[in-house]
Order: sequence, then structure tokens, then C-alpha cells
Amino acid sequence: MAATAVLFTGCENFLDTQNLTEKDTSNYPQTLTDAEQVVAGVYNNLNTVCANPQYSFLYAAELASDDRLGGGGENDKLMQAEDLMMNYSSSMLEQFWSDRYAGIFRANTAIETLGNCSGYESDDQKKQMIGEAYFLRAFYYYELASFFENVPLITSSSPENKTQATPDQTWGQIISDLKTAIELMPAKKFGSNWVEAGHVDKWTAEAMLGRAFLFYTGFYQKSDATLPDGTTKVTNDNVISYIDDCVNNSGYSLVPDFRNLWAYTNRCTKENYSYTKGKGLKWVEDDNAVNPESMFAIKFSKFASWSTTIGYSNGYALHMGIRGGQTLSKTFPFGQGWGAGPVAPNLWKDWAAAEPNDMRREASICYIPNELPNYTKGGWTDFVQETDYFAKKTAPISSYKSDGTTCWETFEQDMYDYSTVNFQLSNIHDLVLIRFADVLLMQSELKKDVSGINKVRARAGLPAIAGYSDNALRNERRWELCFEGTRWNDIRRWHIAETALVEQDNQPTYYKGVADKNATTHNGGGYAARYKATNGGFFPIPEKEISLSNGVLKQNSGWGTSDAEYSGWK
Amino acid sequence: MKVLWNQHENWMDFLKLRASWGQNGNCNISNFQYLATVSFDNTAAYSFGNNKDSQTTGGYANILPNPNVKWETSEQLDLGLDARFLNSRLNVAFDWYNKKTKNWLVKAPQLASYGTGAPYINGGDVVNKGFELALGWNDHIGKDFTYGVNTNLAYNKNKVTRIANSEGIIHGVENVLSQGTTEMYRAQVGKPIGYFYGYKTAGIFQNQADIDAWRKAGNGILQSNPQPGDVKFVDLNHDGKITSDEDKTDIGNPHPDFTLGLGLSFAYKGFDLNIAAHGAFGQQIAKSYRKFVDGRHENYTTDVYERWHGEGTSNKMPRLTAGSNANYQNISDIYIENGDYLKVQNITFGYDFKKLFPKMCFSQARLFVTAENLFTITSYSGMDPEIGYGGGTHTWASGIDIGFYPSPRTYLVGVNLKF
Repeated sequence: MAATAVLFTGCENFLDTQNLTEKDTSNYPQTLTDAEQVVAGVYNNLNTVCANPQYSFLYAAELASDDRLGGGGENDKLMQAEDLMMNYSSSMLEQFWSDRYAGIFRANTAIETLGNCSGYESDDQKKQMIGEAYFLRAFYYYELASFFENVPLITSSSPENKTQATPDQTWGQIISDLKTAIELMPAKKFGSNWVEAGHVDKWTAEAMLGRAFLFYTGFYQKSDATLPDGTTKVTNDNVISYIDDCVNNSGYSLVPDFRNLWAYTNRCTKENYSYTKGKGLKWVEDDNAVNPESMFAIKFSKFASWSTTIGYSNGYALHMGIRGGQTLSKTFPFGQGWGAGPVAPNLWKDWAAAEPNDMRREASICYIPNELPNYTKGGWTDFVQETDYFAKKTAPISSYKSDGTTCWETFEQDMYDYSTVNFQLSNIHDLVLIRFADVLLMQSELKKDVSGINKVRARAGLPAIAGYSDNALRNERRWELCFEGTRWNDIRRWHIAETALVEQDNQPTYYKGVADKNATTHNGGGYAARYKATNGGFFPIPEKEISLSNGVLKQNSGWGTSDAEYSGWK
Repeated sequence: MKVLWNQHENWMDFLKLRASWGQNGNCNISNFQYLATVSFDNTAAYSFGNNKDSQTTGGYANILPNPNVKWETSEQLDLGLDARFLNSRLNVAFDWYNKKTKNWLVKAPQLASYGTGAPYINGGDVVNKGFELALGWNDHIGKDFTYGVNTNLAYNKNKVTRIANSEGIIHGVENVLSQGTTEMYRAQVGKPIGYFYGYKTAGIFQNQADIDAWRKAGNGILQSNPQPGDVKFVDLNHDGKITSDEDKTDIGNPHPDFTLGLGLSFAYKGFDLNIAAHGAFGQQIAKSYRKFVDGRHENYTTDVYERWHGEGTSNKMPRLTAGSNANYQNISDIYIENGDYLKVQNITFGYDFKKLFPKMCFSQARLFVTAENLFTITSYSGMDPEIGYGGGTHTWASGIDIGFYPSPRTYLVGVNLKF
């Protein structure tokens, strides 16, 4: 009997196979290297979205805001639709929805499995890595919640077809994840014997918590946030203490000259550009240098290619480059791209009226008739919503070759010896998502004092203000952080969006190179009407997901009807 | 299992009745699908360290695990008979079959919020029923002339009988016919697998009065700003709106109802002539050879002359517009054609010189010419009606012609020498 029993158990083991060639979730992650790969996989989602930036929250937020129009060619209907808050093509934002949830899945996996790995050099290192996963999950949900409002809240790597969570639940989770990240990550900056640059740290999480808290409490008019346990609250005072810690102890600082933050001051370009020539400027990121003001940025590399992913390059710079159809020397120093997000003339006008001596205006916006005398309007004779103003800060930047007459498509081709690539792949300077100036302004806004705002003003060479006012703070945020993705959520949370957005109406533009106005009959009733119809500027959930959910997911208000459809500018 | 019964009669030389039932399995999917495999592909890395020349490899689970995945089973019941008549000159073979494929291994689309690749599941059942009839006549006239005619005819009906999700549908993917187009094929309970799914159309609006009359009759219009030259999408449920759930329907079936094989052979003295042909009937093909976002300079086939460009110029193909257009991006029967064909696949004509020179050292010295794919009898407007392509993502889709290289016509000359 015993012999036969042994025989049967022997059979079972014989039939089981072990995976000898691939890793699977039964044997991964186990070591420190595995853990580092899992974390890299979560960050990688930032690049995934850069491969199709036009569907992302950051891009739509820029175009929908009152500082920029849609732009692009007459076939780039998505760009114009995002400016007008209308729909174009079925499941318009499916790519971003799908990409971000992939990032969330990886973050969930990391949170669940990193604690089981062995080989960490210290307990601090383990907590740092898990903290980073919580940060990224919160960041990804921040974007989904700001974009779509009602999203299914998936916090496990075994997902289910869940109904959409309420904003209170989603934002509660976001704020809770950031609080966990702050508590887990030790108070250490990247550097030798610690994480490399590009990793977030405790203070980045504090800054992000400020941003998330301000949006949630402002937009939804709440005084505090309740965490998923149902009882713990995060209050204004809690957030103030985090932000104070960030301002006082993080080691981040303002770069002394505002212009040095932007790529047009790079060493390959600056002496050929009249605005920067001879001014003793030095770009903070020249030759991979560390930007002391950058707290969270997307990193790019020379691995961008059609066979890997173009997301390893800065797709936002490409999309918002000057619409082409002319030689690079005519648009120098600005590189070319698809012409998305032309600057709305009302931004320049408001800025010049409110703060006439602000050097940041010319440092952020190129007034094309002055700076680019040989510029040809119209792009490839199809440019829609073109204006005389171009966003310099995050633009692609070119540089002259050694012959002095022809240009590199982007300066990175020269600086990083990256010349064998197409201009669509060669923008690889960082995309900064959170910088220290934003933290100072958030500090002023939360505490209603002028300490932070005056530091920002002093850096811009502007006189200090005596007393805090919401108006002063709001304007300061608009000027300091223009084109950095914050304006859209700011005007929504201050409930000034409808009045701000209609300032774009009838602004002078060019249609296919001919003078026109920013007005179209295919606008679903106009900026204010669309903002209201969408309950505050929320975008449509992809229909494909709604039908796959078999009725569990519901579309947002203001979408799915024929008046929400954008059919073209004329 | 087989049952044989041979019978000898005067007019019937041979009769055998057969019945069989069998079961086989298929597990032809990647290994370890009951777990989640981990991927380290070159799109999953991140560049830390302010270094544009280096990356840290990223690792992530690239599918959700399915611990319940199991073999796909096929059960086939076959009843048939073989008979020979008239001194075995006439051969008849007939089979009726019913083949059920259970626990079909398929990757069903899942919600994007699940965050990673869909697992293989046992997604449904498919039934194929039909009959096959083979007839052959081999005879000779006189001493020197022999001939044979062999045909086989098959009828098959394919139907999905179960899909393992609440909807009863596995959706096809978008962007198959061209970038930006809607889903065009599906697997659905009660329908052939991979049937074409889209709007029906009723021609083209020729002028504004047409549009107004259409609207007045209570029909919905898909285009938000309809112009003459736009497609009349049919409002199936006549509710005044064109919505994909209610107005899209079955617009074609890529599976043939009948397939036919034909072989003719003739031999006279040293000459031989063989003709082989095959055909398929009753299937539809979805065809498009262009991208749908039109600009000022494009490459078109002569099909584009059939577009609408003024009142009365076309009732088939809509107007061209700059950029993308609802007329093209919504899959409809303007792309669907009947794909019936009979292709003469091989004609070979040869002569064996042994007959002329019986004393030569070879046992056969035959010279032949062959024409392959000499001509195809079909009304299909595309290049080749034999299309297996289904978009690439789902192996169960077929019949989509996006311009694949057709079977070439080939002429061969050859010599057979036997020692």
C-alpha cells in the first residue's frame, strides 16, 4: 500500500513543470534587482504616455485652458476639439485611459510585492521604493480624476469590473496614497549611495499632496479630505505642515535667473539667439546637469526609436513645436513640430496690463512678429487657430551647425551626439511636472501669507507685495507657471473658468495664414456652455470601455450627444 | 469508431456506409498562461541618473493569469457513404458532419482598467455543420483516349453557440480597414465567427432635397452636418437616430457556403492535359486599398473614379473630403462585396516522348507546360478573392482585403525524365 501511495505522489510532481526560461509572477520579484526593475516599470508609464501625448491630461489641460488655443492643421481635429472641450472620433481618449491604468496596475503590483523581496541594503531603501510606487499611483489617479472625474478605483493587481468611484472616494485615495508616500520615504535627496536623479522623494510627495488637496477642496468646495478608512481626515493645517517642511527642509531652491530654467538658454543655442546672446545665461540642464528647482520631471533618453518607443523622447515638445513648412533658420531658435497649443493673445494682454515690467512674459512667450521676422504663417498652408504668440518654455529648441547657416533640428542632436535621428525623436530634455516655485506659491495660498509669493516675485525681479490677496496669488500662479499644465486645474478649482475661458473668444488668429478670429460655429455653444455642460470641464470616458463594461461604467454629462461632436473649424 | 458495410449489386459495384465519432484537443497557446508572465521588453525601461545614454530595465506582468485555463476540445460526428457505379467508372463519396469545438481558446478583450494584457480563456463554443460530396467519372473512349472528371463540393455552416461573457460577444478590434475606422468583425452567439459588423447603407444623398426627404421620413442621419455626397446610413430601428448599438448589424460573412474543387484529366496517346480548379461561393469580402484621411496628394486605384462628385455621379461611393470623414470611418456595407470565385489554378499540358521513341533509355521523357492561376472567374473588384487575412489581431477573423499581393500567374515549362 505504502509503495503505491509513493508512486502516485511521484506522478503528480512529475507532471508539474517549472518555468525554467521565463519569469512569472510565481518567482518574480524576489531580489533587489527585481524590485528595481518593478519600480522602473512603474516610472516607464510616464514615457508610455509621451508616445501619444495628444490624448493625455497634461496636453488637454494645456489646450483647454484660457492660456492656449487648440492649433494644429485642419486635420488635427483632436487638438481643436480639446481646446473647445468637444468630442472628436469614437473613444477619443481610449489611449490615455488604457495607458494610465496600465501604470496603475504596475503600481499596484509594486505595492503588493516589493515588501516580499529580499536583499535590500537597508529598511530605508525598501520604504523609499514602496513610497515611490504609492506616489506614482496617486499621480496617475490625480490625472484620471482631473480628466474624467468618475473613474473605477482599482487598488489591487486582481482587478474587477467595478463601478466608478465617487470623487470623494477617488481623491481620498489619492491623498491617502500621498500621505503614505510621505510617511514611508525617508528625508533624503537623491545622490551618491541613495536613489539616482529621476526618482521622487518625500518632498515631491509633499508638493503633490498640496496640489491634490488644493484641487479637491477647491473644486468640490470641501474643507478637508476623508481618507479611505472613513474616519481619518487630512486638513488644511496638515497640508500646511507638509508644505512648510518641503519649503524649509527639502533642499530644493529657486534658480536665480528665471530664464535659465528653459532650454533656449542651452549652450549650443544661446549665443545665436538675440534674446539670450551676451547675457551670461546658463541653462540648468546643460550636459545633464541637475536642475535644483525641478522636483518631479519625466526623463528622456537616446533610446527613442520607432522600434522601441517614441515615448522615450519628449512628445509634448514635438507636438507644441512651431508648425513647419519652412526652414529651421526662419523659426530659429524654436524647433518644429505640429503647432499644437498656440498661445492665446488674451494671456499676453492680461499679463502686460497687470504686470508690465515682468521679465517672465518675454521669457515665456515669443511674440513672433518681433522675434522671428522671417516667419511664414500657415504652417503647411493648413494651420488653424494660429496666433502671433508662441510658448517658449517647453518648446523644442534648435541650434546652428558648425557651418553657421544650417540648423540642427534640435540642440540635443548636437549636445548629446544624437544626430542620427529624426526630429520627431530628438527632443530629449526633461519635462518638468513640479518645480519648487509652485510649492512656494502653494504655501502662500494655503497660509494666506506673502512669504512664498514674494520669493517667487523677487526671483523675477518684481517688488514684494504687502498683503495677501487671492487675486494677487492667482495672477502670480498664472504668470510664473504658464504652459506648465497647472492653469487648467487652477481656474477650475477657483471657479473662475467660465469667465476666464470666454476671454479667448474672437481673439485675433490666422486661418491657413490669413487673418481670422478665434470663432467657429462648430463649438457646441462656446467655451462657457461646454464647461457648464461637462460639469466643470471633464472629458468623455472612452465609449469602448463603457461597452466592454456591459453597462457598469456610465458616460460623463455633456458627452455622447451630437452637439458635443466637433466636425472641423470651418 | 467506424461501421463498414460492403454490398455488391448489379448496378452498384461497391457501397460502404460509414459512421464515426471522434474527439481531439488543442492546447496551442503559449506556456504558463495560468500564471502571469513577466516582460522586460525594450519599451518598459526608464532613464534614471540624468544620463541620456543609459536605462534601467523595467519588469511588469504582461498578462493577467488564468488559473482555470484548460484544453479546447473538438468533437466531430460524421456519417457518410462511398459507392461505385457502372463498372467503377462513377465514384461517389458523401459525408455529413457536425463538428463542435468546445472551450475555444481565445483572448477576449477586457477592460483597459485591468491594466495589462488579457489572458487566454476558454471563451466559447463553435459549431461547424455541413456535407461533402465527391463525384468522379473515369472512363476511356477507344483504346487511346482516357479521361476523368472529378469534382468535390462541400457545404459548411459555421456558427458560434456560446461566448463566455455576459454580453455574448467578442468584439473585433478597431483600425483594421484603415486607421480611425470602427470595429468591423465580431464573434457573437448565433452568428458565423468573424462576421462583418457595420451599418447598412441605402446609397448616397444626391442633393439637399434628398437629405431633407430622408429626414422627413423619420430616418436618422449619422453625419452631424450632412452634405450631398454623403452616405445614407440606414436607420434600422427607425428611431430618428443612428446609433451603433441599434443600427449596426450583420453586413456579411467571410465564410463560404460552398466550396468546389474540380479536376479534369485527359490523356491521348502520349499527350496529357490536366486542369485543376477550385472555387468558393457565398462569402463576402471587405475591401479597401486606401487610407481614409485624404489630403491634396494621394495615391488611389481607379476605384476612386466611382466616387460621388456631383449630382447623379455615383450612388455607391461617397465624396472625398480633406481629412477624415464619418462616411469612411464608420464601417458599412460600402466596403463589402461578394467574393464568389472559381479559380483555374493549374493547367498542365504535356507530351511523353517515350511514345514516339519507345527504344530510348528513359522510361519516361515528358515535356510539359503549366500555367498556374491562369484566370479567375469572379465579380469581385479586388485583386484576388482568396483572402484569409483577418486584421492580424484575432486569428478567427478573415476575409479582409487591404491590398495583399495577389497569387501570381506563373508559366512553367518542364521536363520529366525517369531512368
